[in-house]
Amino acid sequence: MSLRAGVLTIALSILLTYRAFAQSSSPSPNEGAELAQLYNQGMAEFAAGDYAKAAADLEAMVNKAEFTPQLEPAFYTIGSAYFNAGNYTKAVAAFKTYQSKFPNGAHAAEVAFGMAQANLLGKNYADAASQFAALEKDPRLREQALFFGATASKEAGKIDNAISTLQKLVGGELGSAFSVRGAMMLAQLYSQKGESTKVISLIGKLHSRIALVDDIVGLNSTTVELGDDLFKKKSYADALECYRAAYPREEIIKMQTERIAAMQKKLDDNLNVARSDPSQFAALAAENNQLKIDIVRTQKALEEFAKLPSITPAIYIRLARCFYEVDKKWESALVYQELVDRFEKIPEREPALFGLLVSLAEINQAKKAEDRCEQYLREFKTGPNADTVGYMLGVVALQANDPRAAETYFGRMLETQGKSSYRDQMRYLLGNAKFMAGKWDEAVAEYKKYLSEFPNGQSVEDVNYRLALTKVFSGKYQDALNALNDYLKKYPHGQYVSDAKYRIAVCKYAASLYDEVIKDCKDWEREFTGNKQLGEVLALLADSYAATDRDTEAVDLYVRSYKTAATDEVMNYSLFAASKILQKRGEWDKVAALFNDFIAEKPESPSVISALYWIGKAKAHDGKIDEANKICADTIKKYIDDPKREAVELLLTQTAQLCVKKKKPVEGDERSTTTPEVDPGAELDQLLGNTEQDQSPTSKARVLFAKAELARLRKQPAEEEKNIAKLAEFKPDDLSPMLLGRAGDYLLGQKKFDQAAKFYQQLLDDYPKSDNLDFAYNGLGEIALQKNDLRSALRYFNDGTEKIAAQQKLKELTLGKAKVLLATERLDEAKKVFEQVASVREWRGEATAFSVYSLGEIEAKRQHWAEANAYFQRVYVGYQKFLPWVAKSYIRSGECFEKLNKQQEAANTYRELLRNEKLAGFAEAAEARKKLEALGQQG
Amino acid sequence: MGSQRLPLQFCVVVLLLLGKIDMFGQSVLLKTGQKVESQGLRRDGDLIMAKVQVGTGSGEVGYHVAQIAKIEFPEPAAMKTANDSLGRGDAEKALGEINSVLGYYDQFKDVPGSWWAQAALVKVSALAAMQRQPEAEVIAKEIQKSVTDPEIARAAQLRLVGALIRRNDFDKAVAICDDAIKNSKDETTLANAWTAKGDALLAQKNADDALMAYLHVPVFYYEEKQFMPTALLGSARAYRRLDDVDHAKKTLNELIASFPQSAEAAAAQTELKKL
Repeated sequence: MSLRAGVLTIALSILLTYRAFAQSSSPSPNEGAELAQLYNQGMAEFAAGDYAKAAADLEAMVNKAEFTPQLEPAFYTIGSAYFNAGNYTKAVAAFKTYQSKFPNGAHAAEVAFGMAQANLLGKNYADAASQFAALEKDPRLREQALFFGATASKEAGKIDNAISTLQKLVGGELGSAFSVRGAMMLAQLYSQKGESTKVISLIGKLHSRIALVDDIVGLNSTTVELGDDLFKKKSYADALECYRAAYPREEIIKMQTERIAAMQKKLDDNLNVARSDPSQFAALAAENNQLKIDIVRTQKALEEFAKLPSITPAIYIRLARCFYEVDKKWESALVYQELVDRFEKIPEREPALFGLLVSLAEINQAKKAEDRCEQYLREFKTGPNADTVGYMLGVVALQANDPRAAETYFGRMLETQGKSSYRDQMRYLLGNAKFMAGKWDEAVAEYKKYLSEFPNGQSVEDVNYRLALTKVFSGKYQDALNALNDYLKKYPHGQYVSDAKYRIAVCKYAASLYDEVIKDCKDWEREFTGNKQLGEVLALLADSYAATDRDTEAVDLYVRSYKTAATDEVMNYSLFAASKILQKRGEWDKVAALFNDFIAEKPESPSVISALYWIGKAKAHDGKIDEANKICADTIKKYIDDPKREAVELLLTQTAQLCVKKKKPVEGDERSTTTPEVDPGAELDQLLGNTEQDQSPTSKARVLFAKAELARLRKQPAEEEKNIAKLAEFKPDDLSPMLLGRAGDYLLGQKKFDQAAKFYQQLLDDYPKSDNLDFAYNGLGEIALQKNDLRSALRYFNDGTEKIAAQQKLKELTLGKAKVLLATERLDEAKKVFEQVASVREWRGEATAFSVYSLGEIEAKRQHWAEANAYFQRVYVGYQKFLPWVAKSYIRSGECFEKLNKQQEAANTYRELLRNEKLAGFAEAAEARKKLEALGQQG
Repeated sequence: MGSQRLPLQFCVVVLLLLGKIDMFGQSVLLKTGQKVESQGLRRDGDLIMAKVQVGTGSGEVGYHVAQIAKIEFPEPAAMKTANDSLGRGDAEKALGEINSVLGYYDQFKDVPGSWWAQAALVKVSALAAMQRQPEAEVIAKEIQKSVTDPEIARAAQLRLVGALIRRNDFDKAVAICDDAIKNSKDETTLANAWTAKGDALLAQKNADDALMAYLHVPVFYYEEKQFMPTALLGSARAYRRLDDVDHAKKTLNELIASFPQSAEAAAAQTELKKL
């Protein structure tokens, strides 16, 4: 604080003092004039800013003059002059003199404050602190006294004292500029002491009273620094709050400009008031001086700040790092993304892009992570993280279960990043990628390269084991046995010993060495007690017993296996393997007991509904139809609302089957012969009746399905179609996977492609692991084919046959693929697939007729007329049941003959078509007549 | 009386106070540059009747709406209280508070400086929060027809996105959101746009992009409390679709704790039970 304010008040008293000197009886007129001159000189020097001279002259004057109360301003000015000259020691002495001479002087308060300030600036912190403490009682000076007192304590290293002083200043609402400055200091002190909650609270308070903050640039900077401090101390959530409180550049400039304008306005208003009321001049002049200083300071800070680039990237990168550390990876990715996409040329771009791809990988956004990895390698080929990114590119692809892409990436990185520190890992993972893709020979080659390049690499044991495994998976069991035994010799305590011994048993099983397998599995269980692979080993053991017709032992082992299985896959395998044996032996009561035990053991398992289905089936087998029906109906009612429970449809079908099944009369029950047969439809309604009244659309849809199944079993196709058609009126959201597939198929059959697509898409999106997923791939493929979007069609058909284990629609998917290949003139591939379809015995029927016909079309496209004709003839000779294809084949066969210049044979073929009464209504019959006419013959 | 009775230059003192004057302290700025301090205003057909001091008494002066550049209405206190109520999730209270504002400003809907559009937007938000979509849409359309400020027009358009989503018109819904995101500088509008975009993407089962859209609100626009419940609920649903049950639960619990009165909190309670 400047004490220049003293200048103006003293100026008014110059005349008074002169008069005093003039009136004093002690000095001679000459001495009086000299003293007055000294006084005036001193005051003028003070006004001119020559404080040292002013102090010297005024001191000389007071030393010469006889003491009078009128000299009060002079004594005050001496202290002020020394203060302004930066001579704090003398300022303190001068102020003490004043206090001793004028204990109740007009400037007593200013002198006390000035002395405290001088002690503070002169680093006499203890004196300063105690003097400021005394000034706290003065309401005019309280806030300043608290602020500067705290400053003194802080500078003296007495942080707790500083804190308690500042708490008095900022404890309530922040109502002034000093309280705001005090709050900023207190926040810094709290941060030093690690009291982050208090820091955050103060930051919040400051921002809520932003209107009082003159130095917004400074506040913003302090806020960010506090955030950085908290980040270093790992208080990430608190650091986040600080960063969030920071203002963007545009807002800072706007607010600071407004603040400066407000200060300027205050200054102008003060001048206006002072002009109209001179008595306030002195006080307002003091305030104005301070305002001028503050305006200059904040203007300068603003100008410097405005030259800087946007601080948003700096804040955003901090935000992103905080979000990452508090496990909000999506939020982290979002901020990094915003940074990368909005700001092209910033220093933070490289770390932001790297942070983005790491976050994306962590949140399993594999495709986006890959794209950003590629972007990084384009923009920062030699960047500090280029090696890591190159490695991550492949890792992310593996994570996304895309071994082909992983292969490509790792291969590329190994070529382009020769000195990467991840070379070892990449070579190993490249082998793994090929392993995952089932490319055994290539995987072996990569693993051998690894061993040659990195004989002491970190993955040597893994590689050696995987080399053995490739032999197991490629069916080279003898080689596998040798390799596995080699592994065990080399790594007797290796991490894969238990798995290796299990695989050895698998190899022996493949060689039908069942007794050895049994011994090995028993040894394994003894050696590896509690190992999580026990379920698999027990399943293998059970398989061996079953293979040697020791069914009782096999069943017991299967039961042990499912109970200890670590995966659902093994659990289900063993459970249903046990069931199959019991079914084969006709021990249906044991089948029921098996599944009842399973339900008791694993009540939350998704296989529970299937288990109930089998219990019902077992009861039905034993003639306990009503009991079976009750089990089915009760289970259905429990799960009918949940579209995710796919096995409900199985139960609905079973219920329909049980309703259709005639009930055996009970022996000895005379009534049974006279009891009228219950209508299956009525019985189904009764069993599901309450369920239908349920408001849930899912339940209603499932009841319709049950009715459709009943109609199918009763060979009532019209009734079946009627109920399925009603399914198609439901919203896809309400249907289970099977019903989505059925509704989609119905709409597809009606050529309502867009509606059908919605059902299939829902199935694809919501049930990616459903057993009915093949309906979706097939349906969408067919729709794409109908719309001539051959690329999409092929993608769907390929995915349906390669990515999933299609069961119900495998034939259609394969045929669909063949159709697309034919349509796109990929004749060799199309031929292969049509031949495949035609060769599958289980698919014999129209699919075969169509396939053979298509094979003819392929040959015809190649103008191999004889070969084509052979296929067409096969169709109309061997597949007479499938009239549309028969009719077409006749025509095409005739055309082939014509191409071979065998007109008579062609005519005979056309006539043969016309002789077939079943083909009379087909368009091909009219076509045959035209062809005959063109040949100059009659039909 | 008023300008239809006397030419404009004579529209100084016309008659003694008649009719109800509801508010006071507004300045009427005419297109001529003249500023008229009024003690109250009322609407009379195409005229705005201003109560003015005339000597020791008062009179009314009428100005045609076309002559008025702007009326400087003070911001109604209920605007802030209604927005605060919305921010707390108390839509019903917000509706009651804003209806009183609309009750007055309805008569000045077409007058520049009127708070009608802003108040109507608050009402639309309140009705939407109370699941009274059809009423919200009617008002949103009215706002679009009545305003020239592009920010308010955008805000009103965004209120219609919900209806477009229900009609499966996702492309149009997303286009409106993207336009607002690209062109708006108003944080409330931006928070609204991102939330609406999240809704549109989630309806199309695009959970990844929907989640990123929703998260814009808690990450960049966390001061826009009225959109936080929707953004949090949407995020939780997106997490669920992505099989991230842990984050779904955390988000739902955060919603219930932070906005217990909101309709979204009630939905969150139900959804938590399913997880």
